Amino acid sequence: MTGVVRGRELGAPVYAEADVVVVGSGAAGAVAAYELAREGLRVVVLEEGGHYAPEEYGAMTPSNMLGRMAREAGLSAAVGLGDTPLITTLAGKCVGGSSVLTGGVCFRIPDEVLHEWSSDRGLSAMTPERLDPYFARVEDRVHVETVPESMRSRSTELFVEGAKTMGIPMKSLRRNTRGCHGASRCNFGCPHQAKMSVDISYLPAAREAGARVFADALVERLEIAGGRAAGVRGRFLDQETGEPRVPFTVRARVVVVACGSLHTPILLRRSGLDAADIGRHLTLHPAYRVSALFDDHVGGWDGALQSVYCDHFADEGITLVGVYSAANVLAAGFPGVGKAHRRLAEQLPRLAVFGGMVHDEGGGSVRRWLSREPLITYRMSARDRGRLFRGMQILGQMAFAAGAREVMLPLFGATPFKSRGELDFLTERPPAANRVECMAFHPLGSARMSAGPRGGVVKPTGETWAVDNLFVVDGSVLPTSIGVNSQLPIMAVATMLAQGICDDWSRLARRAA
Amino acid sequence: MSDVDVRMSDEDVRMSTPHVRMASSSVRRSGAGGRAGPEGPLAPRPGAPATRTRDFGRTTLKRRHREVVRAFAEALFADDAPPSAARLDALVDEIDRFISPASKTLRFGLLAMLDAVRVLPLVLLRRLATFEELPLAARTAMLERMEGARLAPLCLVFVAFKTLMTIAYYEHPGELESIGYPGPARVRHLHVAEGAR
Repeated sequence: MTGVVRGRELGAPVYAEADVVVVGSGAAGAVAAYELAREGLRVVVLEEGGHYAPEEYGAMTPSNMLGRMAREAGLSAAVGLGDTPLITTLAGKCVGGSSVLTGGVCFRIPDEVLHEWSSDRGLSAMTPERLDPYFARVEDRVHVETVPESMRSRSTELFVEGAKTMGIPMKSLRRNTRGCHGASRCNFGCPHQAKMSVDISYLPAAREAGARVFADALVERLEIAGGRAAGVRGRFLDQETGEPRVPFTVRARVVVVACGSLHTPILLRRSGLDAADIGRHLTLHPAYRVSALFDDHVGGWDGALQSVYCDHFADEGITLVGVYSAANVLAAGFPGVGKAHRRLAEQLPRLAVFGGMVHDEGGGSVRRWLSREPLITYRMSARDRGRLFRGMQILGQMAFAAGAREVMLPLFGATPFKSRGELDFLTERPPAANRVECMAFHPLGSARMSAGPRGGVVKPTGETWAVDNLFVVDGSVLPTSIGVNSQLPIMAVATMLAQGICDDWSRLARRAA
Repeated sequence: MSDVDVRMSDEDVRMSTPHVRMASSSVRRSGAGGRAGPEGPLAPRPGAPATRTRDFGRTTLKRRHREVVRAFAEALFADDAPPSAARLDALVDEIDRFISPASKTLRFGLLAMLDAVRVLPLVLLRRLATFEELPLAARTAMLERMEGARLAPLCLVFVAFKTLMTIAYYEHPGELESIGYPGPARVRHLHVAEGAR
């Protein structure tokens, strides 16, 4: 097995030849690389972000992790159009991609979503039965397990108690962990290497099978000749400036793009693809946190970061998921300045947190603009705005039902709320949505799959409609939002699409020749 | 099938992997801890983590921006007394290190926001002074106005820098301890292990 090459340390141009070049090493790219390499194909993986060993995660603070391993140092955001919040969009930029920065929550794609894809959109492979073996394969490799009740933090227990009082059922989550210590900082890299992110679960196996992984490798353009993908070219980032410097070229018979929903459209456009749907139809699952202060000690940092969820409101497009975070990140959510902020920060031990997520109908787009990073815009529909505030209200009510003294909503400038009745305004006279502090962790759909060349960017096989031997295998191919965390679905779909490439290899290779 | 064919230069130096070759002149190993020396632009605070991959060497904040960040942080974290000068200086360095990996566009936007904060006293307080020239109480008042402003962009500027600064400020074990965080020790997973036995 070979190590990961740090492109920032290279000083001379690189040329490589392979059967398949995979652009991106996250949940989709790592899975595809492994599936292709294990079939004996020569695979090169190119990752724009840096390479950090999992053993180093525990020594990094959240700001260290964000600066080194997240796009835009964790400050990337979708600009809200109309009455829409500014939505921060956390995405990984490192070997392992966003899988290093997720909470590890694992859901399969809900049956009703797959039914819509297969029946209404004609994507016949997207059924629970056809996807089952791919989900099972991924779940086995990343060790998906149900979080035991005893690993629920006190913060989560309080929300469960509140939900129970209101007659709302909660369920245990499944996560890709092995030996979780409950450090509650999964989204800043697991300090115990217990989260089976792809840099732990897939990439070492891919490298064992012969795949070569380059970090700091910015792919600037896909090489396309005669309507067929023939490789990629780009530059390694410079050690001092972080800007592209040393060029590289990789010739390959098949090109697999797995840059994620925010960057795949940019690379396709930059390479000359001009389908109208590239960069459109972006969905985000807008998410938010509601915090509550209790009279007694909570110490929510002890326990799994995420351990329960609630699909009781799935029909309303609302998913509620237990969540916590690093103490300093939670402190950033307290309102106030000076003494007022300090007064709340000192109550951190009595803080409980819960999260909500909107199963959105889209309204996002990704465009090229001034820098390498895309311009992301998002126009939230009236329906989704209603879901946003309704979810907040439910969480606030749960907190009061559990005995909270004060509830803090993610509204700019809002002071803590002292009673359940004070939350009624969220549905009766909702505030402007652009005052909501909103986050997104599951961008999907910006190069979506379609049964015909109109209305989509890739075929059901993942190959683009426009260019032969060019495949997209990441979350951008999912045709709609799915209402649940997207890591496992992305990995399962990538497995299916990579398997399809292997099965069709002789034809693809012949075409390349 | 055979291994990937990778060619990197004429002057080959074998690295840790048997197949990757690169020019000897190009290989720049990071120093102790994989970071720039203490005099460099990326001087880590004592105890900062070491990584095998060296950080990029760029910085973002110019002198006037550093002054605004420092004055902002002093008001944001003042309790009965403001944080010490040394603590604030270190925090400014940490903020610079935090945001410098971001793209040119985003860094430009953040600097533009700081320039806006610098001249906002004229608009929000009707005072002919830059933000960092204001006394502490006036800076606190201005930040409170930004937080509660009806104009969403004003709130966003406040929240953006408050978030960055709070994350960095409360990363120090001493500050975390002062707000009741006990450190990395955990017990719940031990109960799970006991149950399994």
